[in-house]
Amino acid sequence: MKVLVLVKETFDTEVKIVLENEIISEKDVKYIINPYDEFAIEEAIKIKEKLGGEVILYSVGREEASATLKTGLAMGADQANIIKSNVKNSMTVSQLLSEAINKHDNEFDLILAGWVSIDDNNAQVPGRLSQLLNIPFVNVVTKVDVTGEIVLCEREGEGCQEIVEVRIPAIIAVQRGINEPRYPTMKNIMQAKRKNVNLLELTAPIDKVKVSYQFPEQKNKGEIIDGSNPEQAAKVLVDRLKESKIL
Amino acid sequence: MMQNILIVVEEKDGSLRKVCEEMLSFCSQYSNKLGFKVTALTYGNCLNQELFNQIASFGVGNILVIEDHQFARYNPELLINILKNIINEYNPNLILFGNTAVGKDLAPRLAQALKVQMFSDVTKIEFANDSIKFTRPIYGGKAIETDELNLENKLVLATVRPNNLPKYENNPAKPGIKKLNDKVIDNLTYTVKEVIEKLKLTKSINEAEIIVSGGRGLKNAENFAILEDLANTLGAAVGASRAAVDAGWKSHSVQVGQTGKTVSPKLYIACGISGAIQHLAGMSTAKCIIAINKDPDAPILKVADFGIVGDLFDIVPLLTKAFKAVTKG
Repeated sequence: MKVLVLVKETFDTEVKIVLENEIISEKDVKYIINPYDEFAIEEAIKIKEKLGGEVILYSVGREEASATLKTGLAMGADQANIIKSNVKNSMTVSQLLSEAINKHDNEFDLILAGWVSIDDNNAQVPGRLSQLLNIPFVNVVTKVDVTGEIVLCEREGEGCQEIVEVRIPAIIAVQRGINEPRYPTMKNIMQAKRKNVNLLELTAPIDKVKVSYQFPEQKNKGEIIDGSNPEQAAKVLVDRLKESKIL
Repeated sequence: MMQNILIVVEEKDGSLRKVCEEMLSFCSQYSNKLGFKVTALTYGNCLNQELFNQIASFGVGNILVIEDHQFARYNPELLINILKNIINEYNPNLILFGNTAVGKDLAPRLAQALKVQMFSDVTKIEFANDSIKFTRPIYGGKAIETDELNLENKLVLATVRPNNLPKYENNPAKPGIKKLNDKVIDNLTYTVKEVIEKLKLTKSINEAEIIVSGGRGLKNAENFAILEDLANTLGAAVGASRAAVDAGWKSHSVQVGQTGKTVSPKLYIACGISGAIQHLAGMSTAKCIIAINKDPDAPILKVADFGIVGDLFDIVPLLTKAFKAVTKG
C-alpha cells in the first residue's frame, strides 16, 4: 500500500492573531500539524502496519514546515514532500498537490487527509483533489477498513452514519473519533531525523480573489451577575434577556 | 453583474432546512433591489407540493425539481453529474449551498468539476456592481476573512453558515415548477451500502437557535438532565464541551469546539464550561452568550454577554423555572 497524507501546518491554537495592513502576521508564530491531519497520519500508519507499504506526507507551505512535519515522520511516516509556496487559495493548493502527486507518486493507492483545517476552515482541498485526480472521495470518515482493493468507510452524514464503499485509488478525509494519534517515542524522534523532507518547486497559477483580514467586531463588555443568591441571579438574568429582546 | 443565483435547497422530513429558508429569503430580497434572478433547485426521491409552496413563500417561484429513486440515499457522485448538466444549461453566477453535511461534501467537488472559486461557511454576502464579497470567520472566530471577486460573468460557489443571513418579510411568489429529466448515471464508483439513522430524540445543534451546553462542571452524565430540562423549556438543543465528551458523558456529535461543531445560535448558554480557546473557537459567533460558572476567572466569562458566577446546580433549575414562567406569560 502506498498511502499519501495531505498535511497542513497551522498556527498553534493558543496563538494570538496579529494583523498588519489587513494581513495576518506570521512573525514569531508557533506552528503545529493541523489536528485533523494528525488523525490522517495515524490512520495511514495503521494501514501500513497492517498491510505493509509506505506513507508519504504532502504539504503545501513554507520551507520551514519541515520542522513541523518531523512530528509526522516520528509518528511513523517514511518521508515528506513540501511544495514550497505561500498560496492559501484552496483551488490553487489543490492544483499544486495534484501536479506534484502526478509527477512523483502517481501509483499511490490511497490519499488520506483531515476533512478540515482549523485555521482557514475551508474544507475544500480533499474534494477538489478527488476531481483533479478523477478518483472517488469519501468525506468526514470515522472508520476505514481496507481489504484488497475495497475500502469500506463509515462517515458522518446528516443525522446518520453512512457506510460507503469505494475502490482504490481513493481519497479519504477523516474526522475526529477515527483514532487517537500516537505520541512518538524518543527513539522514533531520533529516527525521524534521518528521514527525508524533500522540497518541491512548482509554479502556482494566479487566482483573482482579493483577500483581506479583519478582527471581528468587538462585543460590548458583558455583565457579571453575582450568583451568591441564585434565586436573585436567575431573576436578573431573565429580566436582562427580556430587556435586550433575546427572549 | 449578478444575473442569476441558484440555491441548492435541502429538505428534512418534508420541510425546508432553516439555512435554506435564510438563503431564499436573503437572495429574494436583493433580487428585487438589484434585478437578478433566483432559482431554487430541489432533489429527492419523493418531493411534495408543500415543499414547493414553502420555497415560493420566500418569493422564489422558479423551482427546478429532479426526482429519482436513487436520491433516497445521499450520493455525491450522482448529484455532481446532474448538477453539472443543470449549471451548463442555466448559467448561474452564484450557486449557494447550506453549510450542512451535504453542502460541505458536495460544494468543493462541484467547484473543482466546474473549475471555479468557492467560499466555505460564509456569514455575510454583499453584492456590488460587478463584484461579490463574502465574509467568513477563520481561526475559530479570532479573525474575519473578506473575499472579493470580480464576477466578469463568471461563476462562484459558496456554502452559507446557518443563523447568519438576515431573514426578510418576502412577498410570496407563485410556485413555477420545472421537472428535469436528467439521466441519472448508474455506473458509480461511490456506493452507499448502509445508512444508520441516529436517534431522533436528540435535537441537532447545527441549526439550533438556542443551545444549552455543559462541560466538566456537570461532574457526570446523569447531571446533564438538568440541562435537558432547561433546553426543553427553551426549545433548545443540548451541546457539550470536549471535556464532557472525552469523559463519555455526551457523544461527539454534540461537541462544540475546535474538533467538534462550529455553531452560531442566537443564544448559547454555557454551564460549567471554563471556555478553553478550543471551545470558544466553536461558539464565539453566537449572538448572545450566557455563562454560568463557579470560577470568577473562567475565560468563558470574558466572552459572555451575561455571566453568573455561582453554582450551576442551584442556578440552572431556577432558570428553567423562571423561563417557564416567561414562556407561559
